[in-house]
Amino acid sequence: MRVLATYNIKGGVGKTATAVNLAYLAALEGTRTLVWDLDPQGAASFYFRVKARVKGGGKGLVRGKTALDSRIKATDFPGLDLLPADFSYRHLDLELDDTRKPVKQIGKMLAPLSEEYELLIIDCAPSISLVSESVFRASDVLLVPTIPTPLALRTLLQLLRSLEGIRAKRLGVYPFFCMVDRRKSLHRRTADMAGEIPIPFLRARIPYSSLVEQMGIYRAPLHTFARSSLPARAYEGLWREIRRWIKKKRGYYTKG
Amino acid sequence: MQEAFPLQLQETSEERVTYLDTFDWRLMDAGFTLVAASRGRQFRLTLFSNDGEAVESRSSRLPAFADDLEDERFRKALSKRAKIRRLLPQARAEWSRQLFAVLNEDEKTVARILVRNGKARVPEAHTLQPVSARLQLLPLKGYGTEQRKVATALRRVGATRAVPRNELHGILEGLGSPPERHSSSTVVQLAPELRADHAARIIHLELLKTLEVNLNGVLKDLDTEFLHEFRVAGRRARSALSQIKGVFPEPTVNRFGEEFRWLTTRTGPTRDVDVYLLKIPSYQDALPEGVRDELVPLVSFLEKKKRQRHRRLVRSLTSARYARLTDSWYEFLHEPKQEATPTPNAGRPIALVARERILRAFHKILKMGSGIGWDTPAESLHRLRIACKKLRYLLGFFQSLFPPETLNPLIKELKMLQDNLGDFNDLQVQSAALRAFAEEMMTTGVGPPATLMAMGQLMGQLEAEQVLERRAFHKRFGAFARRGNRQRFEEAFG
Repeated sequence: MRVLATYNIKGGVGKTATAVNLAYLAALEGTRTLVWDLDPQGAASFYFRVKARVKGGGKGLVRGKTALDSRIKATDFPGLDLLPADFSYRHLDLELDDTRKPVKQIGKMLAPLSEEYELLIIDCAPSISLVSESVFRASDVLLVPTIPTPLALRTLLQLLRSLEGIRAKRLGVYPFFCMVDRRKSLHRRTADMAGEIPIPFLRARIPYSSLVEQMGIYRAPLHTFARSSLPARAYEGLWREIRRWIKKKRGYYTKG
Repeated sequence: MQEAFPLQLQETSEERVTYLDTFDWRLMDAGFTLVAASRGRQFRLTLFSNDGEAVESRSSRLPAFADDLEDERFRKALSKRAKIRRLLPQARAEWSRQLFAVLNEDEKTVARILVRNGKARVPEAHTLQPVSARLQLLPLKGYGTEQRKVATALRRVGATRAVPRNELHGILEGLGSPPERHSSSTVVQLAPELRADHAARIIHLELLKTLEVNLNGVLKDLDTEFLHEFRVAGRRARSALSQIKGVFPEPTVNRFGEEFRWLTTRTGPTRDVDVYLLKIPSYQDALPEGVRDELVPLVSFLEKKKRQRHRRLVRSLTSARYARLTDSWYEFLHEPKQEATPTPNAGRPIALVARERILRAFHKILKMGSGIGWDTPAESLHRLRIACKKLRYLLGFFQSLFPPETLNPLIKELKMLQDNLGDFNDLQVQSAALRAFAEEMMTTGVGPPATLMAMGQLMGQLEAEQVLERRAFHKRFGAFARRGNRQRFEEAFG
């Protein structure tokens, strides 16, 4: 099982839309995919029409009282399942802190799922915390949606610096531009500034589009209602690019 | 139904599917069905349990064995049930499918209902026959509560059964050809007071039927198990002829005894190669990791040999001699029952004859075994093995005449002795065969030195194991011949 996390220190950058749409595209290709909505706000769960509630809460999962597998819900799409959010996830830090090795805890919890799913996409909550560190340690790919503004690039640099202190050897970090508005000269110029970031950006750029926002109205992945739209195609490009990296990486959990 | 659970028609489609199972219905017996649906140039494989839990995978061709599949999860799920047996097409069907989603208040799908109408046929038939429509509740992970409610509603309107049935089984029954069992170990039901010659006829007819139902699988080499069953049925028939004494006229016994001996010698060579091919994985396990691949030339050598021997086997089994054997044997077994008793045991009740024959075979084993010391040649153990087999066959033929609680402990004790003797013999035959193969590979130039060395290593191991089995024999036989076991035999059959 490969683990991909969508993450940004900032909120509202299109993290959840990325997680949901990539998961949909992966499953469409026949990849057995699981989305873990780790954001207590539960946006990914909302998009999939699944109630953002986990019996036993985050506490039960972290303490190993409830197996992750027993809380998984099938989405309406074949080969695509969801581990819903729960409002109690906002205390997940405290729960992790109570375990013996907090930063390894998420990886430990995921191990039993490794055979059933080929791809796990974790939609993380914004903010740097014990939870995000534990997710980084368990992930192969960290996708960082970034709005092309100087402030956002600064945040990205902050993230990269904080990652240096984390032992997450197999993690590949892939920033990409999101909510890009070609009409804004600021966006155009910032996108060109990407060279100042020490790691390359992915080529795909997700345009700003009200269609992406409409996912909240349709409560479904973008492709189900606007398959040939510009943003839909941009997500396809992103998936093609990231798929290569996912396949190249040797899975951590595949060893059993 | 509609008011309680809003339904939405999601998809209508046509589908051509092939149902696969092993010759002995392992998937069905484990409560599973394997379906391959054509999707363009691909197949979508679904393995589902009787209550609907499913795993799916895609494949570019119909799998012949579970191990052919790349998808690890699917392969594991399938091989857990099918093991090494070949997956044979058991039925074909064409379905018109309607897929409905059951929605909750968020319009989220919480279950699916699949309705199918169509036609089906067994692989040998040319035309499709209509089969009854099927309604299936497909579970969705995490929505158990909702499913149970829908299931109850469906049962209440009589749309589904309380106990889900196996889909393939239902289809085959609907087509009027329920799954056939091919085993020679089928228990024949006999009444204790039945005339011995009639009972013997019934037993032989069952064995002949086993020969017949397996013949096609042997000729087409569908699965090694067909030949194995075929061979065992032939051997059992020969054993029954000689062991159930005095029920058939002497010339008949001699004639067919000779014919069944011929059949055994014809089927032996192919079965031997089959066995070595099946043993390759365990041979590889026995070798150090770096050396395992050296056995590849041995595999291709054996596969070539298998093809040659199988061709010869096909010639024998399509010969006039084989046809005459089965035809005249069938005719004899169906002869009108004679009132006169030309042979000593024919008119006696089968229960009496069975007891005598079983005890006699048992005593023979005791006598032979007690004469075997530490330095007795292997040949004597081989003869003892055959004697044990004869007793085992007799116990099998007459199983219905004795209560299982009497019979089973005796069979268990005998089986342990047989396992030991069988392993001992196997190991000896194997190391001898490997030596012969190595020589042949060397003279024909298909055996690279590394392969021959690996085979040498194997022979060494097999011989070492054989010494251990030989040591274990004395303990094993001691247990079989102990007073308690002897008493149990005497009480059961005396």
